[in-house]
Amino acid sequence: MRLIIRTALWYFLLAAFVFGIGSSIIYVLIKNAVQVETDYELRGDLNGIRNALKNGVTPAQIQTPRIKITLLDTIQYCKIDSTFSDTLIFLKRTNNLESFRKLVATIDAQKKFYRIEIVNIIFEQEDISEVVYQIITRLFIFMSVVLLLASFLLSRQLLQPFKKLLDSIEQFSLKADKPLNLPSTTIYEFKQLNAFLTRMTSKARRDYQSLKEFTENASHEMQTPLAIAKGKLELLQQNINLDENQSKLLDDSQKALTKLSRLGQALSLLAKIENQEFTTQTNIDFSTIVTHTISLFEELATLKNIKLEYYLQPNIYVKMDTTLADVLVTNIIKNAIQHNIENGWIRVYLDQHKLEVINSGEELHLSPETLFLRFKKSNQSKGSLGLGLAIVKKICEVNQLQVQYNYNDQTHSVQILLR
Amino acid sequence: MKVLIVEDEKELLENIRLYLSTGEYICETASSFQEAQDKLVSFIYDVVVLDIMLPDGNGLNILQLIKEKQSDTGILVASAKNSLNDKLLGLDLGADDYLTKPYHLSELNARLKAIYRRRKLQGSALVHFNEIKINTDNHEVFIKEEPLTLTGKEYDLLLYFITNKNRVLTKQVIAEHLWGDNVDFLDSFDFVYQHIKNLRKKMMAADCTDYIQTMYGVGYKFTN
Repeated sequence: MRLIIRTALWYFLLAAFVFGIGSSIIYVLIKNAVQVETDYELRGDLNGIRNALKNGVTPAQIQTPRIKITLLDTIQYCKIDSTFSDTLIFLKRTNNLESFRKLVATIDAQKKFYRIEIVNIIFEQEDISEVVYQIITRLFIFMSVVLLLASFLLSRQLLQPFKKLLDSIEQFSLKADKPLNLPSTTIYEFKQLNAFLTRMTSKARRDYQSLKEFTENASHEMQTPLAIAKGKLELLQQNINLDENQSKLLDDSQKALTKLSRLGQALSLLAKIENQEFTTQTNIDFSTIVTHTISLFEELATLKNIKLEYYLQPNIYVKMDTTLADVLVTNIIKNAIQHNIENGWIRVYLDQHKLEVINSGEELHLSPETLFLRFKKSNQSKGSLGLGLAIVKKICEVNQLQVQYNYNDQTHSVQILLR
Repeated sequence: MKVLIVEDEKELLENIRLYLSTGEYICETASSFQEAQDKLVSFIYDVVVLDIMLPDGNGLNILQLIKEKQSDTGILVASAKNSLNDKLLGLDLGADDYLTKPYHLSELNARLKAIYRRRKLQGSALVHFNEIKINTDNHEVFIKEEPLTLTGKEYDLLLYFITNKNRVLTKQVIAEHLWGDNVDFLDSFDFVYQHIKNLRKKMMAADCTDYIQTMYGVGYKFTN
């Protein structure tokens, strides 16, 4: 539900409540005002009658259907007073009982006492409520229409900074090299929101940046000490007095260091791809790259007794960085050899739609998608780093290529959909 | 062969100096841009091993300096920065070869000698070892002046052995020399053994002494 609709609904509810209470108050006020006015007129009539009687006018001359004058003869019961009351009287004219205000008073004039009853029709309660209802409903409808129009028109204007803010946030990316650009506003709340978002995103950017730098620096910086250690070991290996066990220890250390160094290089490559350091997009001859890579690996495949077949269409061009394309193809084919089985097979297909590498391999115990994660390996004991497919995935990501890993009955396939 | 090694990491410098000192090298070192510049202005070198990332300057500038001052000097760029850009830039500016850190010292040795052969021994690019003679220009091998036919890998292997003679070469080092970094996943280096077995067989058939000494558990050594 949109905020403006919810606000409008609340306004309606509140308006209904206020108008409801308001109409009761108006009703009571009007009713009181009408009664006070009626009473005032009745009193005026009574004064007129008293004066007339004092001036000798006979009661019969004054009597009307509204005014009834009775001469009182027993003095001791007489008390000068007056009382108002409400009553209902049948009117022939309307053929209905109508509300009347009645004044009963005892007055004296020319040493005689009279009881005077005056009635005056009053504005009926139903009529009052009818009028109040009419006024209130009209006002309510009018107000609602104004409210509705105003809220839609105003909201567009009032929420405009918010909409702009949303747009800016949507366009913001941690990886992009520019800060969050927020539209300026004069509204206090939006100012606060802007300030908060600016603080938050700049902190996130700083953290991301330092994390990125750390990964890159760490994997870069560790190469030098590794090179030193490897060199020392190599010097030690030249020592002729080493026995077989000692040599084996040195060789194993050498291998572990090599692996560590490769790990650093792979992580550094991942960081570099993430840092968009390979952005030169040229139309490269993908067919040649694949053919060249296969030629590099053919011998290695043969050494593992793997049958490598390929069906490559020439002149397939893809727009991407040459280095990345090289790394991409190398990783996929290397992966296919590395995780193959003795006497296995590999088939490489390339056409304008896709590059597909299918290979025999061991049973997969993981979901194929998780293989793209860093350090996820189906077989932990193998010498692989567990970064090859993560690099493949990352390269595809930055080049907007789709990559899939399928597994079915000891047959693995990596598919890259080319545009 | 007179070599200048420019490398800011002292320990690494020491490793290289130690390893090369057992061969036919006169080895000098420089651990800063300034020092390298000074030495290059004063002395002539056959090959310079150049680290690109120096604390007080870019190694690529030294490269340009060498090209201007000593155009006969061979240059081997060595850097931890394994980006293709650096490599291409280095080779564009006239470096003879490029090595990515960390590298094997035997690999450095082989590359240095290859540069030296190409640069300094023009026309007589011959490598001798007793009765073995290798013409590195056209990849021909002679045993006692009789030509010996080798596959590409066997040729590489033999040349690598001779350039690193009297040094222990592990299977890993040999594998990486022959197939590059891509061998890292092959769990064992038994196929190195295959190639060595074939090479040995061919050479012995040509009545050559078996110089390839197997160091059990380590690797091989080409020695008298």
